[in-house]
Amino acid sequence: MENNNYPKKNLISTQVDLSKYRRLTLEEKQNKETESEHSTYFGDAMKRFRKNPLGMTAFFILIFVLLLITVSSFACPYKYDEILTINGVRDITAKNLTPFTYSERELEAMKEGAKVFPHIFGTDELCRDYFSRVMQGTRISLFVGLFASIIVLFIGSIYGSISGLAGGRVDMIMMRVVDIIYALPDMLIVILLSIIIGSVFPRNGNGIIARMGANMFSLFVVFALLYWVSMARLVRGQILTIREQDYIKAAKMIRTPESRMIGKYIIPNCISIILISATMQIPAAIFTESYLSFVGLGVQVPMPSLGALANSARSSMQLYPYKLIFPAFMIALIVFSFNLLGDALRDAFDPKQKQ
Amino acid sequence: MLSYCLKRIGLALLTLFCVIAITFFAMNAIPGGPFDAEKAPSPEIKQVLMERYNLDKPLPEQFIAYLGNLLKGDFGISIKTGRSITETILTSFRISLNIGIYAIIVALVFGLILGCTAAAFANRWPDRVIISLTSIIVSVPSFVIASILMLVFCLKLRWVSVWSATDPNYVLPVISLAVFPMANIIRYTKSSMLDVMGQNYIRTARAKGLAEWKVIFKHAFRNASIPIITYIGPMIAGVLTGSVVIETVFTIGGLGFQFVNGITNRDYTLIMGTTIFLAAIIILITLLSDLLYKAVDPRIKL
Repeated sequence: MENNNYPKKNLISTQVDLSKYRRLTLEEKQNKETESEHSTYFGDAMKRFRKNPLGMTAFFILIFVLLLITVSSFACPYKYDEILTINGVRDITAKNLTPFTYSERELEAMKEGAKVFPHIFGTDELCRDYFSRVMQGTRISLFVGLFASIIVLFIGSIYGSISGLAGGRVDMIMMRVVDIIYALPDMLIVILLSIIIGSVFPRNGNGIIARMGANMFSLFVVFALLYWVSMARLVRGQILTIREQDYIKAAKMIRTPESRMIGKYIIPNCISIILISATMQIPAAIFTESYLSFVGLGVQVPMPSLGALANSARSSMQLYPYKLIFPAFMIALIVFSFNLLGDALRDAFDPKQKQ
Repeated sequence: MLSYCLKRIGLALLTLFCVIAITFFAMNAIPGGPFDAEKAPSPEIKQVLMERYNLDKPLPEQFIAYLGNLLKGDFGISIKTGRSITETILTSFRISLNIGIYAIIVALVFGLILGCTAAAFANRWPDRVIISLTSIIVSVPSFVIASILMLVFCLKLRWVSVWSATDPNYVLPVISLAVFPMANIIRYTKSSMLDVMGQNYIRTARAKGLAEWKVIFKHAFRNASIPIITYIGPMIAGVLTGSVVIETVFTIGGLGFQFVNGITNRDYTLIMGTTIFLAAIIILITLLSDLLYKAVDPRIKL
């Protein structure tokens, strides 16, 4: 410090006057080092995510929905396609009950001491418990969303990474295909393909398709054929940017084999963005399913989905508006939460992208 | 620029051809011909019918004939009603066009105004209210929004009359068709406005002492609205496919209604006609909006 007492060359120079500062003591230096903990990319992102109130709310709502559909499958004694019975006899008075009411027969049975589980959402026009139908619908809709997004994730990332890694003419041709599929009016093609797949595959029988329902199968085929393109573009773009990064150049310099480069550097660096985009795909799939249910191409009766329930409730909505409200509310809740969750995850994992 | 235009036009034509091919061959993949209905005609009559509609020829030949007819603007006739599909499409499209244009105007006007408001009051209560509303709107399927609007305003409150061909009431169909694109426009406008408001020329405009509203509308808004052009294509596609839902809910005899009708009646030629017609419009509009975007903002690299 004693050597640093240079006189200022110029009066208005911004040269730092070192005599005003002192060196850190050894102890302070050590403290400084222990202050910033070792943190990983994932840990940092999760920390940012936990600080986002909207994202956390969405996360807890989804946990709540998951708990609800799991618990209800044990707690609720009615099955989704079960027509209500009292002592083994079909209960015709239990038609279109409003929430938390009992049918005449059930009231009689209760007077005799029998226990009847309440109809939380009432019953539908075929005397089925509406709560268990809505819960089953939620399960189906969530399953459709999850499975569709897995398909998209799988096909999109394989196609995108082949295209991005191969480069050159292969990349160009593969991207032209993507361009064309991207430009197709998706909803129209979805409906078209659903009609065809629905009529080509047998509706009865014991195959997997028949058990799943031809319409649900066609929904997945449609996702596998059409919806992967934006994922493929995303993955390809990620790979192209990562390949330009300095650490990849450095890895190339020390002759890291290509396979190790992909496994060690490229995939881990784009996996979070791919997963986030897959999360965003879930509400899109739930929406598409409800749209298909609307035009009568959704899951097969008596299997309910939220979209199919909401759609069939439209015809009697003037008398029983709650039948429309319950499934519609569930769709809105799930889609809303997934959208918020996706946004929050994107902000947490990719803070640069946030404006 | 020219090579870009040619490339885009080529791609659009190729896409359109793919749509036609997919539609045609997909419809032919369905088992059972058009004359295998409940009341199947006798083999002789069937033979005559097949010959009349060129169904006895091999598939590729049928496809070429179909393409030729399409070029002449002939979509064939409905196999259920026997009416000319071109006529059905044109009359029903006029209705859809009316509603669609109103919906696009409503979505653009309210979307831009609310988007600018949200950007101007970023992170304050007007922004929060607008953005939460849009998040809720995009979470509810359009047929639910339309049904609830109809239930509340037509059936319960009786503020507006239900749609009928003689007394068309555009209010509810237009609102329910417009809310979804409006929500997207609000989001785009907000992020684009925030982007622009950080630019140097805005600082310059403020530095020379312009009133804040002038800065926002004259300098920021004009530049912020450019990226909205790219949304025009998807928006029109959304309005057209959305009209499928809205027209069915309100029982308006537009193009979307015909499409759903075709699906429920399994009227394959009608489905083919409407699909190709709608797809052509969507592809054309997307092409135009892409070219327009490039023309308006030369900074965009291709």
